[in-house]
Amino acid sequence: MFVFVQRCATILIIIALILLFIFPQRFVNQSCRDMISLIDYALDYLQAGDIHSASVVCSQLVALYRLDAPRLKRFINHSAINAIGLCLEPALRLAELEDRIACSEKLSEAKQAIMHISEIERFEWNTLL
Amino acid sequence: MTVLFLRAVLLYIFILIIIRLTGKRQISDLQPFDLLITLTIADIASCAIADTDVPLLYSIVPILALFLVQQLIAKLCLKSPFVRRVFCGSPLILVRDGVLMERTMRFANYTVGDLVDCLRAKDVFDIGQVAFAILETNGSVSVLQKGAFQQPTLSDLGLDADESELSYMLVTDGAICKDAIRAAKVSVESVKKIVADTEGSRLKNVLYLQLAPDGVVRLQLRNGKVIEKRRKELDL
Repeated sequence: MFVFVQRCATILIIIALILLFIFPQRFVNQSCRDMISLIDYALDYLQAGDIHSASVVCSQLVALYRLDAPRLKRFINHSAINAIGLCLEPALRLAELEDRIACSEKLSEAKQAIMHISEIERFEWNTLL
Repeated sequence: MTVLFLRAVLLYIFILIIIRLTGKRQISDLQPFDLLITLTIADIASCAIADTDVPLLYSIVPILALFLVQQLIAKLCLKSPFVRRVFCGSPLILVRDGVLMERTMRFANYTVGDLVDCLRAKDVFDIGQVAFAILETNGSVSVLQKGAFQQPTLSDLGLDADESELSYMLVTDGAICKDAIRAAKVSVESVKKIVADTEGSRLKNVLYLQLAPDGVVRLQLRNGKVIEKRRKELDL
């Protein structure tokens, strides 16, 4: 009986691990891609001097972050996720205050933090070792 | 998650190699791969317990990885003697016919003092009495004394031995143990009757009621009083 239970547990664990290898990585990558593309849009608008459109994109970005952060925290170290919020929230505030340069800096920092997260889940020798 | 899994597997293999290299003295009563999982799981689990910044999956995935690797190694060891030798090593003869095997002892990192300690733990106080002392794969030392120093058994003395039987705890802490009653082939009613007949006691006042292999029924009440009767007297 114990052997049967042990075999069942082993099979379930293998299935669970395969699912954990696929879905969290997919979600993290998708979320990071979405946020980075929005940041790129916002940076483009800021470069073009369209602070109003940049502000709209920043608010979308913050909304996306607030939606995804709790789910990301299930798979990624919480401090790494919080680091993104600590850049995005001030970026939105700075866009509203029409401070283009400071807003760009904050968005660039957020981009770096997001890229760091996508690297954690990417299979590479550097992350493995 | 894949990275976490692979990191756990890599570290498992690394620590296993280190444990194998340190010799058998470092392990006791466990095979190296069993010892390793015991050591690492506790440490991995404590990360997520103590640090709320870390997702639970950071501990769960490596623990599952270790479980799978341990299962795999255990299965391989069952199937292949070669794999078993690689992961668990081979038993080593430390003493043969009262003579210490110095090279083997050096290989196993055993000093004469260590060996004498182990022999004393086995009630052997003279190396000259030892026919074989074998360092097992789990780190324990098995000792076979020379024929002249071995304790005689009943069959050596030509004596009849009683059949080995278990004693049954029919009641413990005021509760009837149904499995023991079934195994002892007695009835619940007869056990309750014994309890009731013992100074009108109630079941909850009984600390234990034991049926010994020699047919003695021993009952201890919570007030410390012990009553012993033969099974035949009690119609059990």
